Amino acid sequence: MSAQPLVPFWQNPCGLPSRPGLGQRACAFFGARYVLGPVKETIQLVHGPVGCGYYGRLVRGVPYPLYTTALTEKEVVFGGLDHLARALREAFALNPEARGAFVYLSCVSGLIGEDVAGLARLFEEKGLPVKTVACPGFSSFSQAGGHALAYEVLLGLVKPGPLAEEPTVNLLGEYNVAGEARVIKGLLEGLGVKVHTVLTGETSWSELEALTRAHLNLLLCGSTAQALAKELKSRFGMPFERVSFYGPAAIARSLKKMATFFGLPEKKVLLQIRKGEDRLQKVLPSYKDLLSGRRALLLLGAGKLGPLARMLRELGLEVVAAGSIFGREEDHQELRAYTDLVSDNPTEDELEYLLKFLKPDVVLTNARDQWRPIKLGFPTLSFPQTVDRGPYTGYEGFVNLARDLVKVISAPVWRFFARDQS
Amino acid sequence: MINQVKEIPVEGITYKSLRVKKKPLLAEYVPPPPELVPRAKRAVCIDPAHTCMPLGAMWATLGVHRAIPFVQGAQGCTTYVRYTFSRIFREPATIANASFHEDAAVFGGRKNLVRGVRNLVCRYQPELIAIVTTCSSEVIGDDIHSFLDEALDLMEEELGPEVREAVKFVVVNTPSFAGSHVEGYNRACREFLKTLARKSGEAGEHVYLIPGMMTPGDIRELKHMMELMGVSHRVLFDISETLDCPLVGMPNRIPYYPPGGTPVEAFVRAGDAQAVWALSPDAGSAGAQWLERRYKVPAYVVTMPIGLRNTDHFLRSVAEATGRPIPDRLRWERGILLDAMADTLHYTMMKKVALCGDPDFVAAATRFVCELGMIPTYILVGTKSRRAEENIRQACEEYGHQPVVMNGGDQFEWEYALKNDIPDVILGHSRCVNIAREIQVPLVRFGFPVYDRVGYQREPIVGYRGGERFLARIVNAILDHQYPDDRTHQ
Repeated sequence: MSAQPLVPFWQNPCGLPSRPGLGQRACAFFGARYVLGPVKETIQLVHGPVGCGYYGRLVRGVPYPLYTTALTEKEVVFGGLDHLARALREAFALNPEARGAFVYLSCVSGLIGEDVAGLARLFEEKGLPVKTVACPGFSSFSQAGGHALAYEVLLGLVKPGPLAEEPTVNLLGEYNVAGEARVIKGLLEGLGVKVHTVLTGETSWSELEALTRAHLNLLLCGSTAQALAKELKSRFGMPFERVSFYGPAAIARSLKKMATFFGLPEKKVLLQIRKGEDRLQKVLPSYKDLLSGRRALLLLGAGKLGPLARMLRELGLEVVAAGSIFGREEDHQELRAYTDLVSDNPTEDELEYLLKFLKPDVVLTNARDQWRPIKLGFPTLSFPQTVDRGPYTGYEGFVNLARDLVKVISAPVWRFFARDQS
Repeated sequence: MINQVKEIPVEGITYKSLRVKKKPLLAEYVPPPPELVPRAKRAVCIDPAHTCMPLGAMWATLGVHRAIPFVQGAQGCTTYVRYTFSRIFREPATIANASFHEDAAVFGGRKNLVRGVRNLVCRYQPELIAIVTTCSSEVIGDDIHSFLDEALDLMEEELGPEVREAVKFVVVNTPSFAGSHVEGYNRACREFLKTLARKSGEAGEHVYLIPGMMTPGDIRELKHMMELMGVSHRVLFDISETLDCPLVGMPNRIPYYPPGGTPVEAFVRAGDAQAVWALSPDAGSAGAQWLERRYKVPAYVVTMPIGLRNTDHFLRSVAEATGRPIPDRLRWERGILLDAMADTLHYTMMKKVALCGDPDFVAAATRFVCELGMIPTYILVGTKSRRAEENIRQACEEYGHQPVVMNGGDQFEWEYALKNDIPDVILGHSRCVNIAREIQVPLVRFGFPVYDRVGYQREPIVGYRGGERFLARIVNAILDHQYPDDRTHQ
């Protein structure tokens, strides 16, 4: 690492406010919508101008339905609470099957100070549960604030209830990117463990109410769902385990953890691990030859960076630098095991300097930022991956990741131009 | 659907047998209460067909050489737009943000603007920064101009007096609750010209074109037509070389800027223009009309040149204003379009078509589908526009059609109408995919936004050549859907 050239790269710690003019982060509404979007049996309504309603559908890969009050000048000046009440009544009339509604507050309704909580109480008295998600875009430094808010709302839905008969778990912080939930469910079902609900990849209002059916909460993404897991433990006595299904080592560890918790026969677990790893052995060696020694640059949400760096190392890649869009200090600590160059919220010019001086073989970044490294001639893998690329979790996901890395690195297009003009 | 066909008949499958009748409605399906279907009677907006103003202003700014939009608002206001652009164009686009946090909501966005603008100037060395306001800064009541003065004073102290000359600033007020992205583009257009345009007295040699929210391919087609006409021209907000650029490798100078875009100087000299055309009446006419009022530049506001008559009308106005004849080459292209229309009339005549999109696109495309002999049934104009509705009515009257025009409606209303009266083809943007799938009707993508097709942004639909391609796309969609492969040629 010491041989690396000097790079103009500000190594910012996590948790700082964004620098004006230089941020790449999203807003609290983005975070809240990301978490709450897939919850079924709900009406989701954003109380704000039309833009928030329009864009709210593209936060997740799947355009989950979203209603909006589409505030106009009149409501901004004279207050939009009546308008919201009418909109809510109409939304319930259009969706008789809905169990309740989430009302997001965007910047405008936050600034004009609408008493949405009061309105929600009125609706609740009529038997129409309305949960307010107070997530004006400015209310946090990044989307992380929105994630936290959304989980608080979800926590409010949980009711105490009887435990399930068979061993059952909940997946917390699992967003079902490109069908991840299916893979994890498959792994767990191999052990005879049922999955009650996936927060929030695949869940519904009723499943959330009966969240306490499960014996154990599996915490998959620490940065977003940790608070929820802790709160569920203290309120309902639900234990939680930190697990990860990214990379074979982590899968084996997590499966063993589960077996110990539920007292499952060790042989069964070992058999499943062996079965999975045998599958890897069939395809991975040829991929690893192409990947080993390659240098990767990461620019993603911090929660995803650690597991990704671990998987890349298992595939033989080296992480030369990592930038998080937002995250927690613990995530950065985890990352420092893989690289010295770690920063939070790097800017576009910093990214370009990194590319220029470090010349990574592959860049892993998000969908919005992928076109810059591509334009500059670097093989780029974008996240979250589309459904056709498949999940990156579990054994088959590990193969998918290796395959996609090989695809982007060995694409012939990168041979047809000189990367350095100078 | 194919796996529902039990056996493949020996003589081949006709498309008719491939199309499976829709399942009867599920028992639990409850149709929406009829009084809640029209948008005008509803408070709740379901699947809006337009987005907010800042997007239009950012779109316009990205068409200027070395220009960066600076969004005075919360971070999401940029994230979504960057994501939208990245999906449509697959290009890097630098958009800066004031990063409003709680303190900005309480104390105003002064600090954010002053520091943000300085950061941008120091790191990115732009030639122009367009400050695009959002609902939050407008509700707080940020006095952008005084903030900007302060920022300039501080930068002058820090970086020297040349900074005032090096970077130009344009302020565009775009509170999202006051209009749609179309209006945002329109306002940006006016503000850019208001702030930058001057008249030097000597007659300029260029005519100016304001394209509106056309794709890079469309703008290139416009330039092609003007070159054939031999008219020296300048396109304002020219995204054809900023949002559609070759892969180059590492640039010598960091940060990367796309090579093209309208130079700031073109805006400055706009007061001397021979004439100006606004090719999208709802997105850009404000700029053209301002030039006419202030500097007496003849302004022509024409319908977007999609299809035969619209292009004729545009070219004739160019010919009249510049005194140049329409060259044979363009007549040839027109002839090709006519030929294509005649060749394919069997597939287009009397086909029912539903349209959806921004006013300029929909108004122009309605006339084109009428020219093709199609019957427009339900037309959703995403942003309420009187001019677009007039244009649509006029075109439909000429051809004897009576479509339902939903001016400023939302997609829910339009989709409900389509479900009850299924058209043969839908012309709309990528957000119409769901309804097209549901009623099993082919969707021809056009307008804003198209993000689920590769290369759409490079394919023109304007002009004669664009019209020919647009026609081909419509006909091929119908062929794919309604005719068995082996029976298309006669």
